Amino acid sequence: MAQDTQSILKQSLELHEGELLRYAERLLNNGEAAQDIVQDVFLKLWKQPPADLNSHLRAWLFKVCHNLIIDRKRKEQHMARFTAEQQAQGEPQTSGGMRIVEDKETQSEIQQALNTLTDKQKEVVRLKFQNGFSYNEIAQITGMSVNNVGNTVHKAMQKLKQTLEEKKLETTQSRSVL
Amino acid sequence: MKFDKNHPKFTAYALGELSKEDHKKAKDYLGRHPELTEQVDEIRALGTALIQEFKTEPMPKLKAVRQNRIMASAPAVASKFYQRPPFMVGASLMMLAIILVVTFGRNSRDDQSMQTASRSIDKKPSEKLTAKQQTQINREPLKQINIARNTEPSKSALGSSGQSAPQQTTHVANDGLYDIADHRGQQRSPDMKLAGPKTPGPNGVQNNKMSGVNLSKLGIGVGKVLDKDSSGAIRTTFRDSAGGAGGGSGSGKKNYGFGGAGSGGLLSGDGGTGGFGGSGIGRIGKSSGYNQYTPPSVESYEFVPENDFVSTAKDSLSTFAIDVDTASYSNVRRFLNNGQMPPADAVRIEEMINYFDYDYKNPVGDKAFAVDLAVSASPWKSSNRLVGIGIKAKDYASSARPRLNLTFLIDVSGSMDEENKLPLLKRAFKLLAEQLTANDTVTIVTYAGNSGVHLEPTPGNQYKKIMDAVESMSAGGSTNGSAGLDLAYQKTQAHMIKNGVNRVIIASDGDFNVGVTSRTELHSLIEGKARTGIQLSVLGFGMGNYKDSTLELLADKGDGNYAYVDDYSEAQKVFSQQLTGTLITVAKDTKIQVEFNPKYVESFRLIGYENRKLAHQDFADDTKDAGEIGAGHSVTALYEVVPVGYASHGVALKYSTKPTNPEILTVKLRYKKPLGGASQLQEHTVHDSGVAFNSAPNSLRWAGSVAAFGMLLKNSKYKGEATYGSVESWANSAIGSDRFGHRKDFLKLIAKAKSPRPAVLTPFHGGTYNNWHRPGRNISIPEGDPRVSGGLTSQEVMQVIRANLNQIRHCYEQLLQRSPNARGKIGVNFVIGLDGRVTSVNIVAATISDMRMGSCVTGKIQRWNFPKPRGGQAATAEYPFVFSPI
Repeated sequence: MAQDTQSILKQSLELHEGELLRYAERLLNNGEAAQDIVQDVFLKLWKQPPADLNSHLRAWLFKVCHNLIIDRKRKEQHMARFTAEQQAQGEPQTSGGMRIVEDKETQSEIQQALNTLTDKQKEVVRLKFQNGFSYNEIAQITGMSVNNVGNTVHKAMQKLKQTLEEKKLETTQSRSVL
Repeated sequence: MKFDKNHPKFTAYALGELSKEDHKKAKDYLGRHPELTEQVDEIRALGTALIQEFKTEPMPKLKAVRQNRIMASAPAVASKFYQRPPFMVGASLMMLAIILVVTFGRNSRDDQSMQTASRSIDKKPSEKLTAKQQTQINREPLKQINIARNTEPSKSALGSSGQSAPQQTTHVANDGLYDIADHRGQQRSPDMKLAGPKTPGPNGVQNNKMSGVNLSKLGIGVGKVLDKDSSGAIRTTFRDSAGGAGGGSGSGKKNYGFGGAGSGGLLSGDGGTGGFGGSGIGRIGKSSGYNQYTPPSVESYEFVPENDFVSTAKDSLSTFAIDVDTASYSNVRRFLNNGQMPPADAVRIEEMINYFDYDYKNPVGDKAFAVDLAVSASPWKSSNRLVGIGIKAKDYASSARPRLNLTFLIDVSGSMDEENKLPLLKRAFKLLAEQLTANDTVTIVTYAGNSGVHLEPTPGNQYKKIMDAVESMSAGGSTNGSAGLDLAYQKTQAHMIKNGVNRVIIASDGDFNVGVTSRTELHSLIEGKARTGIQLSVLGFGMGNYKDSTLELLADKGDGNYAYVDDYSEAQKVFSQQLTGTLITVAKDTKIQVEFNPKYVESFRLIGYENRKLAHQDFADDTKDAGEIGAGHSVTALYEVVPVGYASHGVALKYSTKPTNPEILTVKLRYKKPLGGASQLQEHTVHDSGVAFNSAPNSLRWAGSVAAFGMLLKNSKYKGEATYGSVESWANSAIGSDRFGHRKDFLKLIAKAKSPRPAVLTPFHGGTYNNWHRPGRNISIPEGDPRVSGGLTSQEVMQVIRANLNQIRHCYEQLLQRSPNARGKIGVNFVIGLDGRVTSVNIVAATISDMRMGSCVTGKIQRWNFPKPRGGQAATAEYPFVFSPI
């Protein structure tokens, strides 16, 4: 039985770790920090009375993950200010951990367009299109109102479209030069 | 209504995020402004592109040390809640759900070609793959990713499989590696609104940032996008949907280049390199690609928030359409019987309540309805009142029932070959057949690879003939409902019984694929037929493959019913007990409006019926559609009421001026006779004499128990003091005569919810599906002679070709569906890298000019594994495939 329990929990972990990590990595741009956060998410999960999760485990996990990411970002901003002061006399700091850097050349046009979005738009777009959450669920995860989610997705989509259209224009122009 | 592309709701509409009402409004609006359609398509196409783009991102894993840390502090008891959505296996490709296919403005040829495209994804068109096979297929793209990008660590996209087997070993002999994944495939349980395939699809898309999504408008196609072949994804929509996530259009990865063109358009559409079956292009798709590639866990539920208390000071009216569907109950039962808690959104309380028979009085005289009203204390919150409104429609003695003209349109695709699908339908059919008379007509149309009349219209007294036909149906083949529905309507039309019941009944285990018809065309077809008196009902069979919002919508459009049949007793209920009810409508557009007396009611809450609410002004508006009520049906609605100004403890106060039996509300019932005409109105008032719950009539106590159970399952914030234990005792005392044993079964469900057994991972039960059938015709692909140079012999190459010839055969079968007389040759040249994988495939000579055929063949070959070439040099092979029908 204990064995079963372990394997069930383990499965639950393995079921969600990937998507949570990916979500955290992309928002933090920092693989190591994402590992920290997802670890904490699960530690919190084990402490959560299961009944409270009802059937919304997945949204719950993302919500907790979201909150931890926000905390972390806040701390980093603090640190950044602190570091900036330090840097006046010291050497450049790295915030440690593996950076996720994508070479601009290998990035697709869509990725490049995504980079033009605000952090909030990026997050919402990912929750929607990468993780398949509904507006409603995204609202629960991020603490935004559903309307706000709707506006954010809408603005993000408009921005993406616009960027892609501009890129297309560039491409055709450079082609016609050739 | 201001509604254009600059409005957030416009985007929400395109993404299927509007509430049901708004969606409908938006749709109507778009119907009047077709020029906006393109913009909807654009948003959807962008959404699809995003989905596919995101799919290319690697799925990281926790480091072992962290995993261990997490597991070390794991609780000793595993809750079932932790185990929720097993199909998240491989969540890397976890997709947005509800992706469907846009229906606007596509011509049917287009649709058809896309259908074929999406079907060509799998190896064998009609073979139902086992979960294990699916798993294997699912991981094949991994290999490709690595080839393509060379940058990804070989971490599994099946990030959760728990098997840390090296990813790149081989995709052939790895039985056993994926047992866990297999089991999970079996544990299908949706989590929230997980519509659509949240599964790792084999998606060539991974190879291609552009993924063949035709966003030509936005200029993000790869190379030149060749119109139709790649347009599939554009049609992907985000609601109404049935479809596979994004992309019938597989990949347009350049180095897979077909004929060196490297065009997204060329390769897209083929599943050689994958693609989540772009399922159901322009129709409610159950394309084979979709079904066979998607592990059985794509159930979709709409997220609908529960009704809230409404203050009578603000609004003293409550208006809704009567709803007699019961599918949610069967669905909930299935989850519980599987040892799982149903997802909250699968629990629709009104459908649970209405699953049961209540002993309401029959209407007298020529009234269509009797209304039964009761009030008591609320069992879960004693200071509140519970109001039960029971409506009983006129019943017909079976001798007096109208004549039936029924055409069954039965899905006999391979996936129906499971005990709880076609065999169950056959058993249930017997019950129906036993009740038919010479005045009735039954027709059976089946659809799979082809659709056809299985039983010509037959008088109901020819029992043996009917049952022989029923028994001889066998499942096999892929679904292709095109023409099936037309045929069914034709047959029904030809035997129209005036003043009788003329109905088409679809029985399917999944989305209804109607072939060439686009979704809007389908809806208007169904609506049009309904106006001529042919209704459409839908019976959903089986599990996993069941998408209730889609099917329900069809029945809705067709003025018919929709039921979910998962076991024999349910089948019995639908086919036999409800024969008259399911099939004969005594009233249509039935609406209820309840007006609360603000003097005595502070606020009220309608329990359930969330998606049946109507605008108050629609109540008297005869042009607004609403629910159908069948003969003998009873419909029950419950309100929880917060009383004010009168004693609510059941004690009449002698010295109080408070009334002891106040009139708290009026029920107004409006309906039309089945053949239309002006609506009729019935009104009834309700007084609260202050009884306690345990003195309430049986019917109210039963309905209250079921409602409380539903709220517990949903973990509703309105559940008050209800517990499974208390629900059990309330229900126990209200069990009544329980003619059909449904109530006793309900008690068993409560027991299960109380202590769900730990979910057991059982092996996939389906076994292998060897009995798949090849549609149509015999074909020949004679063996040729491979010309091989480099580190392999031609025998070695030939062996692999031989082993995989069925895949190529499938490409040809697909081609034959598009152009029945196609024959010819495709010569391919491919390079086998040092690791035995194919690094490039090109077509060097072809007499078959069908591009999709070409991309299908190259796509298949791209996935083959050859022995490793010797001597450190890659091998190059050339092979002619010659195709001809026999």
